[in-house]
Amino acid sequence: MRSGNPIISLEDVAMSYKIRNRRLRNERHEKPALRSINLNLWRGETIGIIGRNGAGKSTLLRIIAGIIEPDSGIVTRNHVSIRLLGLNLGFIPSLSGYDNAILGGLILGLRRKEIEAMVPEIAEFAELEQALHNPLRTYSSGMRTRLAFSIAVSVPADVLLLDELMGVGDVAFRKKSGEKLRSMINSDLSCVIVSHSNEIITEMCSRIVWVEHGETIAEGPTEEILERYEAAMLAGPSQPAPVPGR
Amino acid sequence: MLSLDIARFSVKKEAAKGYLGLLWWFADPAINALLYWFLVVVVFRSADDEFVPFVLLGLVIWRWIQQSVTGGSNAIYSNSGLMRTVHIPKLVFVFKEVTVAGYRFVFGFAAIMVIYFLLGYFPTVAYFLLPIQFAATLVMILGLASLLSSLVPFFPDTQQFLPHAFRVLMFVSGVFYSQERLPEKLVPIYRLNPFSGLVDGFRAIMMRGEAPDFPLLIYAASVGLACGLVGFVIHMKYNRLYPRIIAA
Repeated sequence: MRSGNPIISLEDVAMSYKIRNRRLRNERHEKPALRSINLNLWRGETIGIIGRNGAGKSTLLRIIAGIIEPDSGIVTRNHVSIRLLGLNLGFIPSLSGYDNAILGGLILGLRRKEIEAMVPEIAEFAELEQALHNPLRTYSSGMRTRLAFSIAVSVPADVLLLDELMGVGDVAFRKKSGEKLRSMINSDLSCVIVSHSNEIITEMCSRIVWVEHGETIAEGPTEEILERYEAAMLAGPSQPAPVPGR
Repeated sequence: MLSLDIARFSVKKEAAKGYLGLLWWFADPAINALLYWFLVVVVFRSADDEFVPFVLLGLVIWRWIQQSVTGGSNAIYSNSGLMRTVHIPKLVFVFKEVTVAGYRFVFGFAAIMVIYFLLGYFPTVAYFLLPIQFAATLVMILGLASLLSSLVPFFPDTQQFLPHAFRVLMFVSGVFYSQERLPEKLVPIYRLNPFSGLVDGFRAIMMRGEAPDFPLLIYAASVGLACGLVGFVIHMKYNRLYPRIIAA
């Protein structure tokens, strides 16, 4: 699976949020989100990122996606398009589902012609053909999520980043959307999955990266790392297990 | 291009707000016209026929400038949710807000043309100079919006400050009076304000049938260009920092 250089690599990446207490003195304090992250992703590979709440996993995905820049460290992306799969596409409730689908596609970087050609397929997958021309405000929240999900998975990318998102909607659509994601992950797409579900991680990922307090604690084959992670979780609230070799 | 495409949907949203939709943008200057006519002609019994068209045009131009610049300046905040899931150059949002304000202005300006026609101000040859006048104003708007939007995330109070600043600017940019009414000492300072030249340029063309004061237009466009360049550089430098600042 690993051939040549990784398509994405992070070396000693660190970043902290500067939190402003909005007062006249403008005091600031820094909250480190990432201290030292090292990570490589090869083409066609699916890796998982695990760690406690607040370990820095979502920030890490945003850095990989190029939405934010770290304070230090080196991020290398080898000419690949990267998409953080999100459901916020700037929808406007008073406009129709059709208009919002176009808007969402534009936001994700498609040309108008391209997204217009894709709408019928998107509507079919979202099961919204009947309601497509009704205003979005008349949609249930499930319908909106289905539309956003269908747009997001229709726009092509080389690398897909999933933040706890393995399916949306009711039972039936959850299954369908989950299957869609699985088929994407199993294609030649590269993926980074953040999840608290051992099942998903074990099923999808060949390798995982364990992040704790903004640092890469360990990296390796899924089963081995997962075992150590679980042992650490059971051992106590904020004490990662001693890691051999570090 | 992306800005224009996205702006179309924001305009559509405005249109979908009520049954009359975009007609409200057209009606706005007409309602103002009635108000000022009542105040000036009926209440103050002024014999100055020119005051109502004078103020109306000034107000429409001023609204265009104000709505574009304030909308553009706040663009990073007003689109912050989206910014956290997708990387888009933040200037796209700034241009989108300016475009939406531009649509609004087109309707307002069309209404003014109708009102002018009804009041007996017919188009003259000078109207051919309107595109230059629009271009200079737009450069000023885009430049200022780019610069302010690049700074607002670092100085969030600017958002509160801008409406006040624009209210003051409105009174010193000749929206309600012409340069001749000012004491002579103040005229050079008055002309330093690029907005005063822009507002007066429209009146020169549409009320007096004259060419606008070109040096003043060039001056305004240059100030806009300079602001725009600085804003562009700051945007490029901090494009991927803005989502972090907004989140903190």
